[in-house]
Amino acid sequence: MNYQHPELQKRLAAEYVLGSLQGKARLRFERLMVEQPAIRRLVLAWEQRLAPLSNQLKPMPVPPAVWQGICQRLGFIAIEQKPVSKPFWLTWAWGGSLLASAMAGVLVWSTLIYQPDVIPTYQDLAVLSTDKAEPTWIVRVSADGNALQLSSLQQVAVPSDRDLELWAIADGAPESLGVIKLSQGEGSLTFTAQQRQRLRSGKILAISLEPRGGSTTGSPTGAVLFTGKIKV
Amino acid sequence: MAEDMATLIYRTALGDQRAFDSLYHQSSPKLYALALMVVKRKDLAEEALQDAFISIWHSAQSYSEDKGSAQTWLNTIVRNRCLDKLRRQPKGISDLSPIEWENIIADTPEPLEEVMADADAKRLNACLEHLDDKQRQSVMLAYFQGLSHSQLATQLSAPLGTVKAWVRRGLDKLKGCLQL
Repeated sequence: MNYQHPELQKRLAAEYVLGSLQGKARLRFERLMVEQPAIRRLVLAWEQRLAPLSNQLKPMPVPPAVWQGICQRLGFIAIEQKPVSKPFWLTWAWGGSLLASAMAGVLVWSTLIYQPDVIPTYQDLAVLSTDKAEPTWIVRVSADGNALQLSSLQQVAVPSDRDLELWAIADGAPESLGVIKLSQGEGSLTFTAQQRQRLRSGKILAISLEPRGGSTTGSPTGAVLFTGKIKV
Repeated sequence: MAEDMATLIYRTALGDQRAFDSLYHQSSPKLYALALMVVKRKDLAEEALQDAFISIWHSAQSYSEDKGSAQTWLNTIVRNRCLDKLRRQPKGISDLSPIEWENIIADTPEPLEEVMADADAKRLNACLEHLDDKQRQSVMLAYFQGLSHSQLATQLSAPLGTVKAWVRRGLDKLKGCLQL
């Protein structure tokens, strides 16, 4: 078979996702997927087309032994102390009790298990990705909105004569939120009142590579390396 | 308020056990339903779900939102794990009828955050209605039971070539309809 034939590739991608492509043909196709991004895209498109079939199933209560087994196999110890909570979908059905049980969960965490090595008042704000859509930074904002924490998902190399600068973009030009202080893969920023306002009205965050100390023009001068939408 | 699942997957990729715990408790009831649907046996469904989450813990960094929604990513991992399990089993598990399938589809209103997914489901269901009965049945059996063409031929008592055509025509029609 000529696997380069576009029609054949399309059909195999569909039958791979459907499940009817099996045996050696399936294994051969999986190898092609590894080698060829175009084929992966065909597969992804079919996964998305057929996903609603799985998404509309009725949620079923999961026996607690499954989670215990997972924790055991991964060598988690602390989490086993957590009392078995109602399945998420059940609390949905109960509406008002959701908040109560979430708060109870937090209490259990903070009193029994959770070691506050991360200041818990930070909230997730955005995930910043490269232009190849690789998520690289998780950005969290402090409860008072005055500071940001950035955790890197992969190694980020910054030349010693450069700094990373964070920008907020609302509708017009990017406005600086300041130079990121980097230390061992973690970044942090503390805002002035003006920067805090910029963050509040921003819709997108971006990080550019700038000369040491940041851009002197008020706009990004170097390459924009990472961008991401601010969570509403 | 629950965090969205994509964020939980990103945090899991950082080794955050608490995020992984939330991800599991948010997503597992639906994923378990999917596993039960595919493998039809509680013990196998539990094993598949467990294997899937071990793999999610180890491969969370490979997820990104351009690979589709978090739910689709999780579904794919669980369903593939289930299909693997099925292929290792001696024959005789697959016994799904279209009526059983209909019965398993949710009829309760979905929470607000799933309105989008629900709209996609309605659209897909509407498109499935354009398929002939045999085409629809072949597509459903292959998706939820992982049946090969020859297994479909046995299950549907039809020649292999005919079954292949049903699957192919069914998929073509679905794709055409979903693009409208």
